[in-house]
Amino acid sequence: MSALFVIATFLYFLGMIKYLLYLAMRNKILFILATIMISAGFVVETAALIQRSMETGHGPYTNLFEYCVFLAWVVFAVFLIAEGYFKIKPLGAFMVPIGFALMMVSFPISPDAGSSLPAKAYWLTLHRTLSFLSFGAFSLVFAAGVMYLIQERQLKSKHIGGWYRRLPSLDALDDINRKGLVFGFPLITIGALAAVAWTSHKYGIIIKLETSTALLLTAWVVYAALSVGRIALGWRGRRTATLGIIGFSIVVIALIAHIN
Amino acid sequence: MNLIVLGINHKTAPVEIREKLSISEHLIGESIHILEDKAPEIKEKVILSTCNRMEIYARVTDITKGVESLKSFLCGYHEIDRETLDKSAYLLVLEEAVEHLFKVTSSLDSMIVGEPQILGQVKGAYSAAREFEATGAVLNRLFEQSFTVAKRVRTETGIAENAVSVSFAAVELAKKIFGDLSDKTTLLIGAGEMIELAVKHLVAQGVDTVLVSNRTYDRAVELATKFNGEAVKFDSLHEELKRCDIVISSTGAPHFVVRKELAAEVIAERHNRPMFFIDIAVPRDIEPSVNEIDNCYVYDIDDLRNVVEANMAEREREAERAEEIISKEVTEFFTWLDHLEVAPAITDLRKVMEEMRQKEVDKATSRMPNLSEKDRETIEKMTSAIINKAIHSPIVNLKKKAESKDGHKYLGALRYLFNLDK
Repeated sequence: MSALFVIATFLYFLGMIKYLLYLAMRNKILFILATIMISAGFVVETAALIQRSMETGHGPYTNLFEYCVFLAWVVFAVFLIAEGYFKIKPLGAFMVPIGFALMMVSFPISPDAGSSLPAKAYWLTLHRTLSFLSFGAFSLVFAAGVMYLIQERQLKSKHIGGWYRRLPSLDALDDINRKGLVFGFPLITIGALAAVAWTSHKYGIIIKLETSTALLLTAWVVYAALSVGRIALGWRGRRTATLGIIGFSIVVIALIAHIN
Repeated sequence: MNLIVLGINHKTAPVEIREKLSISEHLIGESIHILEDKAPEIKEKVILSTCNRMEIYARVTDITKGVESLKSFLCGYHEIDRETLDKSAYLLVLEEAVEHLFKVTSSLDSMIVGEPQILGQVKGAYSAAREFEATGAVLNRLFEQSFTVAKRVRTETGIAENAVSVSFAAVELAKKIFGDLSDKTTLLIGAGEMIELAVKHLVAQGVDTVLVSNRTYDRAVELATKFNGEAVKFDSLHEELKRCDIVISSTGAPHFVVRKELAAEVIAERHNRPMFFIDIAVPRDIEPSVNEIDNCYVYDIDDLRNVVEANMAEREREAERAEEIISKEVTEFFTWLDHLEVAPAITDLRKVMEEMRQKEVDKATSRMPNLSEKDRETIEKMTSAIINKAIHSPIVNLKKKAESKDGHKYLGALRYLFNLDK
């Protein structure tokens, strides 16, 4: 494993700790430091991914190790954009641990393990790229969902505590759910179609049903229901936040199933 | 150098005494002149008089004399007897005085911790004192620093963040639900005085449209015009609720005005856009179980009071963090103040001179191997005498100037010219 990945993970770790401390202490300096650390980690990881792609001759999406580090990279990319765009300071404490966990998971996995799937195939590459990007968007929807449920509980129970003061308004969190979905759902849908195109081209069947595929399909159904519910039925608030959490949890379980 | 503060505040004196001792703005100049004439030992002074406190900050040459002059000035000026003043006045000296001012400006000593007015009042008192040339280097620095401290406390702690009145708590809750309030519509059910107060804050926060619904239509129209709003018919409540995000209710009705079934229908018709019900009526107007509906939030008067209480407790916790900041700033102020002291400056000057002398004597005598012990002693004595004579009049003049208004300039010059800070 390249030293750059280790450095990136270490920087992500420092950033994560600072975001958590910021959440506890609300000292703005901690927040600025945290963002700097994560940005630095992101730059280093980008370099690591470019270096690796140049060495292997293909993008970082062929084996399990590459899945993890690339997914982490996408999570951090979406996080840095979202933090700048939505200006929600506690977001880091909820989203950064997801990316960091993915980096940690990649550590014991052999980076050079082969893959049963080809490294270069048009439909497969399209599927991988789009699905990975949607993962980033859905991790954002997940983080916003968790914050929404906590804040909603505070407001409903009328027990005003530290969370109430720290977390942003329900409206802002619901807005992330909506925008994350607008971005993520088309990506995962086209990505899934690309996978279908590839399997039918390669094996002559529409879908190869394994545990992880079945789970990902379930996740797609959840996100489809969420999108339709939002647009057509006026769903919002707690229901959409919960579905966002469920959808992402299924994706993560699919990932774990894939690893085992 | 002696800094003192003599004063009374809402904790030590009831309003009858506070009002007697207060010095209104247009009398500050007069009071300063009286103090100048009668009490030459008070070198610098700032008079802070608000409805909750009357304090005089002063730099004095002699504490006992200074306090005595201040007290007799207060008793004479306000015609109150000495015993009453002694009972309620407090005297704080040096560190305690500085810490006190920092706490006052940061609003830690206020009746409502974190209230923002006091900073402006202290600034006013300081600029009045400057206007009458009652301040010098020490109080200038002290007050300027106290403003920085107040700013630090405000930005680095959450002391002023949370609402401590019921109507502000309602605004704060609305913001946590809706984020931006500017495109929101508020419906007032009932048109009493209570409701008027509650909506005032919401309007100040930018709430766009105000609708008023009242049994007596005329009163609804009257209140609606006050907020540039619109009076609506009491019978069309269901229709009106649909377009409202915030509902403030305060009718005298003995039964619920908004029941759960009604709220559930309305929220469905609104496509689940959230609604915030503020129920300040007793008996209550909004059925409490409305809170169980998704995207509906109901707060009655007790709930709002609980929020205020929780916020108060939070301010107390933040106040502890603020005190840490203050204690650091107090140390910083005294480090600066030490530099103004004459005695350490003179000691430093002697040290620098003595080192210089010793070095030169050693250099010279090392080239004179045949020097007798007695001759050596003579050289030592002579060189010592030279430096003592050389720095004698600077020291005498410095001591003379030190207590004057621009004493710090001479001290600063001395430290600069002789590199005493290195």
